[in-house]
Amino acid sequence: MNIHKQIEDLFDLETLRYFEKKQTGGMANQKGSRYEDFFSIMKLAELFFLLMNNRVERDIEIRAQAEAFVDDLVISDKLHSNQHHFQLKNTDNVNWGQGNKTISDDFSKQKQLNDKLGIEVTRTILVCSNQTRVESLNQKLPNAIHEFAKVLFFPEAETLNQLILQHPVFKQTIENICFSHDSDKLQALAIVILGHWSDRKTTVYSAKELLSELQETFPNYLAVTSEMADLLPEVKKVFANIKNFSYFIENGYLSWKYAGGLDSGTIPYPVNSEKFSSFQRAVIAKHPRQFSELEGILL
Amino acid sequence: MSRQFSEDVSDVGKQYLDVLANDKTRVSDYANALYELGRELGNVLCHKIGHRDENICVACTVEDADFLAKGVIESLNALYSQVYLACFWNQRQQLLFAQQTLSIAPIIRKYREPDVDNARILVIVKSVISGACVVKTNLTYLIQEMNPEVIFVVSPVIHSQAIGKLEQEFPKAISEKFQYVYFAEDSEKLEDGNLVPGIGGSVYQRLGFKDQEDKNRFTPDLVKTRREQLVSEV
Repeated sequence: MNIHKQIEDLFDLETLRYFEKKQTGGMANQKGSRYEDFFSIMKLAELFFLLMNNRVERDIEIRAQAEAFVDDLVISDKLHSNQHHFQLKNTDNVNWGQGNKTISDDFSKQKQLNDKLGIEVTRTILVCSNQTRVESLNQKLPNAIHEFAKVLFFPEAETLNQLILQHPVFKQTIENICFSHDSDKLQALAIVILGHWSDRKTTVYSAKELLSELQETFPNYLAVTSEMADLLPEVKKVFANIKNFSYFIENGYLSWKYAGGLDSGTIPYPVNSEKFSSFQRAVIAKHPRQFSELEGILL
Repeated sequence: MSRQFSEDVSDVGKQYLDVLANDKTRVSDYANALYELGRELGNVLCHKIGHRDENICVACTVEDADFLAKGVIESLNALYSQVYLACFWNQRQQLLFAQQTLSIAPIIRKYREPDVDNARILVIVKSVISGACVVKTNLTYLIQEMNPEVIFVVSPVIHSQAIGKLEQEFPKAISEKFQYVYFAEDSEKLEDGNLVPGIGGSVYQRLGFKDQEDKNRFTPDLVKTRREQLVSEV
């Protein structure tokens, strides 16, 4: 039985019409929905962190504009029969409402529908860009949805860079999966995720597959969590003999410093990559003896 | 082609802008024009900053260091003794997705003098500001390391939408600190991002670099000289 039939059986024809209209409107609004995209990037980064650190063995699906009453973003863990629905509102006049076709009613119907579909754990989350409104909405959370609903704050931003600078939670979430905490690498990673997500967001998608795709593209700025190759002994020897030069490998990338950080940098590809092998061969071949001979190779 | 000059440009400045725009200009003359424009921009900055003791950080990219930024620093040094340098090597990339093309310019190397962190005034210098991606990236890095009260965004030529694009990359508390010093504003942009007339194409190529990698392997004399002096003082 498809979902439309389930809705008609569970509620009535009028509710089904409302549901269908919601889907059509949702798809039309999807193009250019910056607020929803930025929030989705944060949720994807959270899922990537779990996958990269083997905290989840199962796969999780994520989709924008799903077939649902609460439909802006849906994250499904099918193995554990767990589904999170997000409704995003970046306007100030957000209310739970009373009666049909309100946020409160959508949340309630979503829970009823998920129960009917056999989903054991349902969470419905209202995401709002107005901090004061979030507090008020949390205080006025209707009893009927109290057990499975909550309200979250997520600020509106014009660009990903602005978001990283003004929302510490977003920044921390990207930091958790990035090879560096430097703002330029965080920006780059968030932009790369945005590009991949925009191409796929309205189809049911596996977070694991999306992460694999990202890991296979260059550049990706993701932390490398697999076992790392060390530097070749000859390269270590060359580096050790260069005065005022130091280096470290973190999250799979080599960073270096000269004169206590007066000059510093990061080789822009991971140490287990073919390009890094070429870099090591160049160091051995040129055998620099001082930093001025090394600096042109550090790329 | 549509160009508007700012009220800060002199007749000399306009002549050097023409030298940049002319595709027949030799590399050495092109570099000299950038240096002279740097001096002119530095003079405008001195006028705006005023006669008081200031700690100033001049931030630039590797390709702009030896000419444009050097000119700016020399003019500032005539009035201010505490001018510090930050130089960035960016790896600019266009990422092609089905829905859109996105630009990133992560920093792969940076030179940062210790007193940069204490500067009250930040001057970010760039030979041309078109999409503002590189300026945004370097400025974002710097404002997390230092807390300037005033941020001058300085360039001979900017695109007519560059200021709006740059400001939307920052929270208002930061973009309110921006002041702009430029000589010409161009509204025509080619698909490759170069402005018309702009600075006569890509600054890398006009300065004789083969490509971005060639540019990023280079260490400017300005950095070498200042670094050597600082290392010898330790």
